[in-house]
Amino acid sequence: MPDEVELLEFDDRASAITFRLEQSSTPDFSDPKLRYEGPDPASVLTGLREGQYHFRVRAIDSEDQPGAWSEPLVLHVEFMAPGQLAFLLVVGGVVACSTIAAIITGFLKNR
Amino acid sequence: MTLAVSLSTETGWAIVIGLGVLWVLLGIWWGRRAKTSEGFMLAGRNVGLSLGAATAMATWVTSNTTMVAPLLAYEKGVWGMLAYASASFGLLLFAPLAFRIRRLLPEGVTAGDFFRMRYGNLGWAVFLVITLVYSVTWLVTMAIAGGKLLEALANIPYAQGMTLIMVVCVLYTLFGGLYAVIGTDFIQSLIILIGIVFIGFIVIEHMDVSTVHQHLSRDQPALLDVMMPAALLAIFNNMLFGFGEVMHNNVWWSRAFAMREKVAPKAFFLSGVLWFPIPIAAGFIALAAGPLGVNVTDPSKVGPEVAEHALGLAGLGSFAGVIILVVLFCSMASSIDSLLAATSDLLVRDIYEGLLKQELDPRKFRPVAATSIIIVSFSAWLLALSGWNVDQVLFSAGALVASLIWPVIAGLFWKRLNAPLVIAGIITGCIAGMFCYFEVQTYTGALVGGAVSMVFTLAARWIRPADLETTTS
Repeated sequence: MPDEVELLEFDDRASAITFRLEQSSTPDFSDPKLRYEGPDPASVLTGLREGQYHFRVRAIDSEDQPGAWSEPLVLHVEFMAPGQLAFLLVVGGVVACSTIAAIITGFLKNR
Repeated sequence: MTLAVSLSTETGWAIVIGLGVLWVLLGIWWGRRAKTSEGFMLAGRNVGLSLGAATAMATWVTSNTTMVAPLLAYEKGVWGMLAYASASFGLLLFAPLAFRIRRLLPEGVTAGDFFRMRYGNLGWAVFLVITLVYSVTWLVTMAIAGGKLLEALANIPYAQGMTLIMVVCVLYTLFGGLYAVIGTDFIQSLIILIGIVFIGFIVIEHMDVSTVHQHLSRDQPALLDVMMPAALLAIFNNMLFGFGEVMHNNVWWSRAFAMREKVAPKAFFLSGVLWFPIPIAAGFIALAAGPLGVNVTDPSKVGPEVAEHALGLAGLGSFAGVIILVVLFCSMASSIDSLLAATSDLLVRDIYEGLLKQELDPRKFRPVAATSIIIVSFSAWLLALSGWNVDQVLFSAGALVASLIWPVIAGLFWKRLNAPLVIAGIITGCIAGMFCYFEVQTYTGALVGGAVSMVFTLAARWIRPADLETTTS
């Protein structure tokens, strides 16, 4: 998940009026957390920390009858390697600071 | 939640056509003064501080600010919000550059004049390729955003809405040139500022900061984390993207030439200060999505979705859609017109006069300028029919513009340089940045492109430097 965003799309059944999306840190959903409940057949996830997450969804029909849970979806969130990140941040910092310094000194010398 | 169609199609058409007629009439009114090429392209080089600052700020508030800034905040959290706001540093830093530009090129017309003078025909050609690719890309992203917005808000078919917005902007730019662009920018900047402050106020009314913080801590904790790699990279990448975009693009150079000499630096500095809080406000609106119970299904529309929801809670009903459409239409129009004018100036001055060696007498100027505007807008319209992913298209061009940062600074302030080495640095920076964008991480393109070009430019100061040209040929 390189950009820290994921779109979960559900099966848009004609009979479903509501979807219930749950998230858990364990495969058996012993600690379920309601992530979304409503009519939309998709939900965008952002802001997850590194780790493994489990998701399941079920439809609820017009008579308030819930369907079966979907097969769990496992999402593995992994950020960029710290060494690579540190290198790129240092490069970014050096280029940004040098650019600002070059403009200020250039301006002061030529005004 | 998908963005609800809160306006009738007829209302959507009426708003855009109504505003369009107003801009066109104002364009004709202001365009009466554009009797010469200098009047049409540079508004007579007599633009004052309030109009200058307003046009710079309004041009920088694009559909990307109002739609991509919330997207960055929603994906990258607090750092994402600040990352987008860092683009204001480009305007702030252009203030001292504008001062130098006016000294170095008192009769300059386009950024191409500078590249040709300092880096010869090869450097000029490389600049033209990069800037034309980037400008058309930028224009395409705004046309796409406009089409998608009208489709979402008023159920106007994408191709029709996108065409409508382009036609309106082309018409008033055709009639009035830079006079019309700057005049309409002033009004549009006021509408944008009032609209964003109003929407932000409504959101704050229904959601305080501590509630947003609580929700994010529980459900989206990485958005508050100090160590979020993509967000941290986005800060430097966006900052360098902003530097490159402002420092190279003729949109900003033409304004530097159009403002009175002593006004230009102040106007750019003021516009940067005024622009800084806008992406912060737009980003905060997006962070309130979860606490307000807005389920995001398309992150590129998170800003309008949350704004519409909050305005709905305030009891504004379908008027919410009117407010959002007017603010976003102004933010698009203020940038599309500027890009059309500045890019067509490049075609007239650099391609028609410079490359094709055509004499531009006063009788031929308006037809040539009009043809250029139509060519640029038609190319963008054709590409926009595809409806690409807006932010992906724009960010992929970051490597190109960031590779021009150091060549601009060095060309403006340094007297001796190895010009071929600088040009090699631009090309290598573009290639390396694009490679990293596609192969390493999205937020590395501008960063790597700028870094590579900087190393080459610094080397060019010490390895066989030669005196730079100081006059235009």
